[in-house]
Amino acid sequence: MTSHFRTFLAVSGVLAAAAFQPALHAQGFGGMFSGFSMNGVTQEEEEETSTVITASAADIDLEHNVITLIGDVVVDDQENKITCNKMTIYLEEDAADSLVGTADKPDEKASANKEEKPAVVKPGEDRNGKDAKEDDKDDDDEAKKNISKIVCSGDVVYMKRAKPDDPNGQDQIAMSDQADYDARKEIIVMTGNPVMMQGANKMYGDRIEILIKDGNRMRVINPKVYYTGDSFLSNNTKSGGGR
Amino acid sequence: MGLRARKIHALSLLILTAALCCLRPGTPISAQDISSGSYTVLKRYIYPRYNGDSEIQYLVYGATAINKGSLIYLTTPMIDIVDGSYTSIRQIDTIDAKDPYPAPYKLGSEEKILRRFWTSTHHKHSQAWIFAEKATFDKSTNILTSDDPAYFRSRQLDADGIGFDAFNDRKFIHIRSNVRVVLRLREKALKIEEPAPSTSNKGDKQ
Repeated sequence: MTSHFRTFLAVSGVLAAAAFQPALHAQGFGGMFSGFSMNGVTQEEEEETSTVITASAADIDLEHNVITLIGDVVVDDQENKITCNKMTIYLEEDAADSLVGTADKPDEKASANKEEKPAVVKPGEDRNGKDAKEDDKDDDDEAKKNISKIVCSGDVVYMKRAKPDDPNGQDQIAMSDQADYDARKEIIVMTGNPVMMQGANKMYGDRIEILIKDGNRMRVINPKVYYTGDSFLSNNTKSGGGR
Repeated sequence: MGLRARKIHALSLLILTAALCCLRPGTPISAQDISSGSYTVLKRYIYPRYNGDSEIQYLVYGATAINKGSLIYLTTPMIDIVDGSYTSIRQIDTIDAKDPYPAPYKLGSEEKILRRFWTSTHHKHSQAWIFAEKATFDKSTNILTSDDPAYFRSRQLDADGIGFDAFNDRKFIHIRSNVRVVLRLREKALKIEEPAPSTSNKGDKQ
């Protein structure tokens, strides 16, 4: 009877331990994920280094390389501000260097050999068995994905702020239905009832071009009407505008 | 008495052996039955998804995963959207469960941090990563959803937001609200995002 009691005790002990197994696991591996902290980022820290675009929602289509920002889109920095209802960003393969390179592509030969090799990764090698330095070299030769075009649509407003050191300076504002930014040409073209304003002056035209590489200079193509305060003048010159 | 005692001993040993098997250290899986049905708790969850050509499309990670039917409830989920035609998970340096899971870098981090992340062996094969605190993965539709803050990271742009739906088979991610994006344009084109050239030390920011 005593032996029965001992056996019963042993089994009960083990079962009790088994019953608490999930709790033991949770404690044992809980610390493994402690490095995954996402709460330490403050908005102020982010905005110190980069211009942040805000929007109500976003659709990121990695298959077609299109990113769409939807609703109350705002791009704001110290000198420029763009607002619109929708912003579509297009990516394309480009031989130019991107900031952080491109993803590694698998080497077919390496992957064929891979199947036979044990999954041991030597220091300085990746899982394809290639030297990490060789990989870095390969990155430079591969095509990169870069932003090729950005299209803003719906109540587009571009504002070029007056320089703070210019007491007579006034903000320049351009409005249109659509704005297309061409990354190669570094130009923004505003179309669809475009109008440029500075103070009480307004200028209408076929389109407005903003030359990024020329200090964001704005010019109105084929300006039709100058409006200054209560009076307005017609003008048939082919282009107008200025810094 | 002797026969009965032997039967009891044999039964006890059987139970003991079964219990010891469950207690094997490091076992990443445990199961519990509850009155409403059964579920499985998985630790260090990794789920690779292949397309019709047997290429890896993406990997879903989770610190823990509770599997109830076709739904998997993940904590600290990460989606690694793979770029290229990898046909075996052994070609990819997956996140080592012994190390802490990688955290997403801050939105607008400086270049050296971005380079360190994207040249890491864990990320070199990646097109993009999505991080969150909790998410639900539907295995039948391959859609991952979350109401919590989400962090999308790619080489061209980073985005933070609240809530997301990741249609993994289409590599399509919808961020539901409060979206904040940082674009990485080509160096010259960064002027659209950066202060105008007239301001001194402007170029130093990037």
